[in-house]
Amino acid sequence: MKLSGLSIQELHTKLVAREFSAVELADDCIARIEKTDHDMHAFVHYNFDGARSQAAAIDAQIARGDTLPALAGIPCAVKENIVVEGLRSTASSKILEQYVAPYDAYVIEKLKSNGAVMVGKTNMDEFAMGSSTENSAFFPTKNPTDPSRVPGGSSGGSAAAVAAHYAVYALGSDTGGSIRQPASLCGVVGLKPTYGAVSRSGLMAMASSLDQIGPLARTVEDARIVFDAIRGYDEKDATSVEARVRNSERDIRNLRIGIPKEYFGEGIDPSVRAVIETTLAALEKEGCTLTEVSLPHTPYAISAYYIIMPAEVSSNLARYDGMKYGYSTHGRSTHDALQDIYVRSRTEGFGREVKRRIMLGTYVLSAGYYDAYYKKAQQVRTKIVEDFSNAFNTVDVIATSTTPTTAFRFGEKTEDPLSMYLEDVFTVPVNLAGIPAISVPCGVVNGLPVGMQFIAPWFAEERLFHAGALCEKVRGTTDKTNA
Amino acid sequence: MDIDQIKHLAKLSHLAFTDEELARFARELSSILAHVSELERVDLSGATPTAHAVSAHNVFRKDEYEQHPRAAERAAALLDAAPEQENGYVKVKAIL
Repeated sequence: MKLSGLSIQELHTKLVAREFSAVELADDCIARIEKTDHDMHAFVHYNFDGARSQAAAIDAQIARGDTLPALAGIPCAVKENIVVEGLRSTASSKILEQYVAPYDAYVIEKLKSNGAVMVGKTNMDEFAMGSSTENSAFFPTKNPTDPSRVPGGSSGGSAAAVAAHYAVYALGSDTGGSIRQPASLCGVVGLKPTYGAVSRSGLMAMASSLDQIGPLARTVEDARIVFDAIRGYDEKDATSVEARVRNSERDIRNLRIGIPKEYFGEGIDPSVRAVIETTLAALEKEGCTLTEVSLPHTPYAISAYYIIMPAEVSSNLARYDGMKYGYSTHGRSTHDALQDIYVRSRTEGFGREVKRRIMLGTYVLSAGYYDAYYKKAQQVRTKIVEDFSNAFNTVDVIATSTTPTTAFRFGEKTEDPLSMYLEDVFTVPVNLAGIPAISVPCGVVNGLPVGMQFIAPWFAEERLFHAGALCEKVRGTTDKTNA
Repeated sequence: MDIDQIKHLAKLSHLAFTDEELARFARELSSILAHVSELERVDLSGATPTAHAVSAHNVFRKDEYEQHPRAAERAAALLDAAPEQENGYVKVKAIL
């Protein structure tokens, strides 16, 4: 029986009906991983034995006739910056290459209580800093739709794992687009929930006011099931809030979609824009209303982001000091003083992009520059929040392309950091405003996937699922991989 | 941004660089800062700074501890992550 390509709900029904076992389902994914991942490099390391024993436990429950959650026995992959007890969690950084997590992230506790089967930990840009996985300290991940191209990032391994059918769904993290952009480039669905909807406990901090964990999946419905399983208040994350997810107050047939003119001008590839416009026209035929809206501060979002994010990075990554855990030069020389260990451990342990952002963040926070950069960026952040609030007075969701282009080639943007940063131009404003957004495959250009981004107000994820399902209906799910 | 500024930032960041790296960072950071300086052109009169987009409030918990069922095992795992330990403590170089 062909197991790949089935939705979570279909797999669940068949598992419960004992058409196949959870162990067989896990082995099906593992066989695919063993066949091609030595070339794809979606994973940094595997958890096959653990996955098989998790699956065996589910099979025992099925045999007993227990009622099981939809995710029970469903294979998943977890990004390397989310800790799983007893597994290495490296954030794809040399500084954590040997680090074994002593506890579970809150989302992992939730997944485990839902009977998840974890096949491995996925590759990423080091500490989630990048848009291509080329910044992984270990190896880049390939895009399953075209192996000569990047899968996007930073959750590139998670997106590739889902696209290549190595797992049914994956967890990623999104600070400036790191779930949505790779989802778009690999042709899968990616959800960045409202800030606070999902606990960040156990997520390695990059920029704490922007980071959010979310699912990557093959359908909008699958993403919704995973989101429902991982969201909720957690006392270990003071910014998390209990399920305030609102149901859509409006009949889906009358969905009002805002089209921000600033996102359709220069900077978007014309062929990508054509796919987006065709999809929007199809949505209009389905009964959606299209309205032009304005988000006038959008052009400044990248600049504000590349001040706020590095500032938070420089503070968050100060914890990697070679003392408590991680790579350390402690013990190398008896002549080394404390200061030498700090500097050598960090210098040898961090990669170039991480160092660049620590330096940039240190600069914008330093005396004399704070008002010129950091304070100004926070004021722009207020303006961006106001832009979205105003737009949502007249529309239910906002639709844009997730990315300006389709997947680019390896090495294309690595020599110019600024060109890589501009890859996030359509996704970053959402993180600055703390609102939710989803990327849904909506077509292809020269065989490469294009993602439609829907953006909703705070805690209105339900609207994203409605809009995303409509998008799937009019465009079909673009499953390009024949796994 | 000149080499001396980069050296100062490196010191604050507890990072060390070769001369070649210093030159590269000076070039790259200058280019990034030139781009983000466009914020000077935005009219921000009356805009208050936003640190968190979703209203954040302080959360207190009771000053009580709860015995974790696997406390000893967890503590050992935490200590094992450190490069050196002694008698249940992480051992570091002299601070003074």
